[in-house]
Amino acid sequence: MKQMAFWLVLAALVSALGLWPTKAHDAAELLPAQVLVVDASRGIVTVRADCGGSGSGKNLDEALEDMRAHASGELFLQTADYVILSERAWYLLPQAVICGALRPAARIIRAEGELPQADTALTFLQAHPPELTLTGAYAALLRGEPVQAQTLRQSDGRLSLAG
Amino acid sequence: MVNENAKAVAALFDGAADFETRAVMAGGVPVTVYFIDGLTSGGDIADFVMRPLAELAPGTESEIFERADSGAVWCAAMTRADTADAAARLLVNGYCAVYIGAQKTALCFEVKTGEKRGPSAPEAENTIKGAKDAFVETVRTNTSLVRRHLRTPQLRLRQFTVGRKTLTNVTVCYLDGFTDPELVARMTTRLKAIDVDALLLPAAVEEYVTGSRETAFPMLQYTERPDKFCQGLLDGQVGLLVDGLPLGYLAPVCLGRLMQSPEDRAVDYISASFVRVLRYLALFASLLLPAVYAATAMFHQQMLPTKLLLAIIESKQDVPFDTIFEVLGLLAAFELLQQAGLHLPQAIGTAVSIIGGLVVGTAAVEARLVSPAALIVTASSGICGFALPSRDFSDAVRVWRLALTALAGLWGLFGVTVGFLALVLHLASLTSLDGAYLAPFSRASSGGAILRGRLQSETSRGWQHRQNGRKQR
Repeated sequence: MKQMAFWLVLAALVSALGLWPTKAHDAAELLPAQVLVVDASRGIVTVRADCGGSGSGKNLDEALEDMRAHASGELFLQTADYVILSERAWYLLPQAVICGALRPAARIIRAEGELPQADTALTFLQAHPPELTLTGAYAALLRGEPVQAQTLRQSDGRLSLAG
Repeated sequence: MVNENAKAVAALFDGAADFETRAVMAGGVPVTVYFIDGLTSGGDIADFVMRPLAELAPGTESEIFERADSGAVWCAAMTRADTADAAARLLVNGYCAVYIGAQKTALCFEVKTGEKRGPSAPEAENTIKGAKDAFVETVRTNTSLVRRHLRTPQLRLRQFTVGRKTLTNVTVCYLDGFTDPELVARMTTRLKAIDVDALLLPAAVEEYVTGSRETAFPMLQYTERPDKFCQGLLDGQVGLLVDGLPLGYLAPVCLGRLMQSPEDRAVDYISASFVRVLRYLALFASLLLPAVYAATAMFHQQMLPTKLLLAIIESKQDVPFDTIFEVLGLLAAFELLQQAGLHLPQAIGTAVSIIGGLVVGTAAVEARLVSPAALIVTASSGICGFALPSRDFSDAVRVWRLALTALAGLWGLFGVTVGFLALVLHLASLTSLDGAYLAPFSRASSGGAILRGRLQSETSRGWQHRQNGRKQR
């Protein structure tokens, strides 16, 4: 018992000196994102989150990293339940399904026409959850099948989900 | 005529205000009676000792002695004391010592006072259906309570005296033929090896009997209920009754026994098993809930469901402290509230609990000093701790709860795992009277450790049958 206590105290001392490899991020510091809206234009990928963060880059990973770097807190993407890809950004689907920052159970939606605001889309999607997840999309891609994603449309300020 | 032993006894109690001396004549022979006021009944001494002595027919010193020894004095219990020390020990146990003439041997008659606390309802181990008697401070009353529950002549009560100054009477109880003789021998050996001045406090009993160990976990089981004590004897444990303590001790103890409650045998086996499972869940919740909360909130947020995480994040807005300091602070506050409630009179203690729990807790949350989530986790963990039947075991769990939470704050779930493994290793290393502390779980077939079987299926016939491998509960 004494030996165990000795080693534990030693390890605690190492941790207290900041030499321990893992680092804590208190929940209060987190900036959770629930919806990601991804667009692409002229080879530049832009990402916006409902928590107010945004970023851009040459691909999805770079855009997410940019958003993380410029966020007002510790951006937390594991709470992102919905990923909205615009028509122009639909080619990023293979990147999205293997993106380590996103939860495999996050729902993927294709947006047509004008892109909705992230917070508006969140409220709508929570009430009308889409079916296709990133995992399902990945499986379809691996099988070579077309990805049957639902389409989000905005008209007259109202959102609708088709498909 | 000088009675040397009588003078020696008087010298031992020199100056004691309660040491009484009475010189009378019995059959023309001078007799000296010593007794301790407060421990003896003056009326009984007068009626049943002095009057018969005074009414004895004249005779020689040895004739008077023989007549008093063989029934002339109307007292049920009589012991001869050949030395002053022996007489003194009997005097402090409620006897009166009668020295007849120059006879060196004192005739000591039991004339204990009836002033003692009678059995009342248990304070801490209440049951709805069970018996409502509890042990008291007088060991003889306690042995009578045990006899009433176990009327078998196989019940053995062996008395020892421990403590050079306190001369505390300690009674070892066991069932001949049920209890492993080696257990009894170990207990007896340990009692005889105790060489201390005093054996007054429960902690002293536990430490000296079990040997002081570096553990917070109890090595002796204690109970204030005679029925639980007798059930322990029937289960093959050795019992210990200490004069001056309203408790019965049982050994060996293991984790399974500490998690059993007298209420388990007051209800049907299905309900009892359900409650036992709940109790084990409460044990894990009490031990791990604050640590797991701190670990997931600080290191492993992705393990939490999204809605729960969002609720925790929202609840921690504007809280200036990290989760680990919140939880540790609340655990410390919880302990302080309990201690404050213990040491105050009941009326004030209740008010302190209300003030501390409701006002301070609510005010702290509203002032955003702590988050509601941390308060709920800490309070739930505390309530789960109160569900454990053994107070000592619950206290040990509280200590380890703090340690596990601290480890969670340092290394997340890795720290919790390391701490939990350390706890299991520690428990596995403990022995109580050479019995393994994790005994009920050390075998693959730990039947009856958690789920209670039907009483009809129990065929307990003592330790010999247990050794032969017959199915136990």
